Amino acid sequence: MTETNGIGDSGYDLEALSAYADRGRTPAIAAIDADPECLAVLDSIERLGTLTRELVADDAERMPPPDENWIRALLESITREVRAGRDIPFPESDDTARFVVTEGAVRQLLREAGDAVPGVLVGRVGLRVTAAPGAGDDGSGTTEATPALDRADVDVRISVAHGTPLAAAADAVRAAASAALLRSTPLEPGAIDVTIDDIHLPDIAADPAAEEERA
Amino acid sequence: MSGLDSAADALLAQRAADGDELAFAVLVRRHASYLRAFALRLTRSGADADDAVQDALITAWDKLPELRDPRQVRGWLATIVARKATDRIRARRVADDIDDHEPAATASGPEERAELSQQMRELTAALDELPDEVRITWTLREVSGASYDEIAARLDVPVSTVRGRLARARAHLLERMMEWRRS
Repeated sequence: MTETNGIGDSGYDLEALSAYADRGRTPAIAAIDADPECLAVLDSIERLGTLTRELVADDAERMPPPDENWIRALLESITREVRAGRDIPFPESDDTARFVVTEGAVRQLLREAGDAVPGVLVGRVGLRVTAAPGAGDDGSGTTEATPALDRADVDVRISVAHGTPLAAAADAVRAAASAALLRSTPLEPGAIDVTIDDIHLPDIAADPAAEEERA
Repeated sequence: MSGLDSAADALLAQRAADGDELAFAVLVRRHASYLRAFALRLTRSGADADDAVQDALITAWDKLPELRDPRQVRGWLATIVARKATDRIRARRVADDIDDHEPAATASGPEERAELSQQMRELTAALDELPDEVRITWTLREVSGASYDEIAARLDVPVSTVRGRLARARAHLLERMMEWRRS
């Protein structure tokens, strides 16, 4: 093939064909699409791409599974603080001792509560904490014996195993989230929204490497 | 937590974005081999590939809340690996020890890959003949599906250079392909 003079009778060189292939052959160029030699080159370009992706997939399959010690070290080196969020103080805090729970810890609590519902996997957990009326207001001079709790509005996204009744699962997650907040946080449950984002297969064949991990 | 092993990538990515390390670990287990293989094709050095993957995963953890489409987490991870790998290649070049790196493919020495198809072995050989920057451009485009603009930004070259390199890679590979057919 002669690059400079174009391929076939199209007048387009390999660089133009290459870019055309990468654009998904749109907008269509009739001079290329009608030229058998160009079409053959385009097909070869696509075959090379497919073969290269297969090559990497094949490389990956031949890799030993990632070393568990490496994964552990990796997890130790990630910065947990980035997800901690704000501190939420317990009302029992006073001048001598301050008890707090982080927003990140509350999210984790809500995830665990939802995961405990059969057939449910929790995805994203939205958490909005609204200060109780009067909280932090130092002006009145009154100290309530039982200060009002901050309010937690929660938005839990879940995936439900195929075959699990959806409404019942959502209700159970709502109840579990509410109970967990009351039991373990200084937050009063507000609106608890549960959205079913996805349905998953209950017994999907797990990744073989992960399977070994569990064993 | 074993239920997470059957969870979709999107759900795991969302949990990891919320701070769930176990979900992140499942993603790492699931995709580490692919990311290493991709990094190896870019860097042609086992040590650089491993470092690039590790750096990328640490960065990914921090940036997960910014991931727009959690279903695309593998491609997104590959993009970060590509960035780290190209950084390594650049650093290596600065250190001028480019010939020092061990021959690629720690897991793919030719003798261990006897069963690898003839075509793939030939492709590997043809890819190895390409100059680094051409091979890297090609790999970013064909394996991670990066756009010309993305590749240009990542490699800090004009889009016209990306276009030229891809044409060059294809000219070489097509030529080799024709030779295979003839032989």
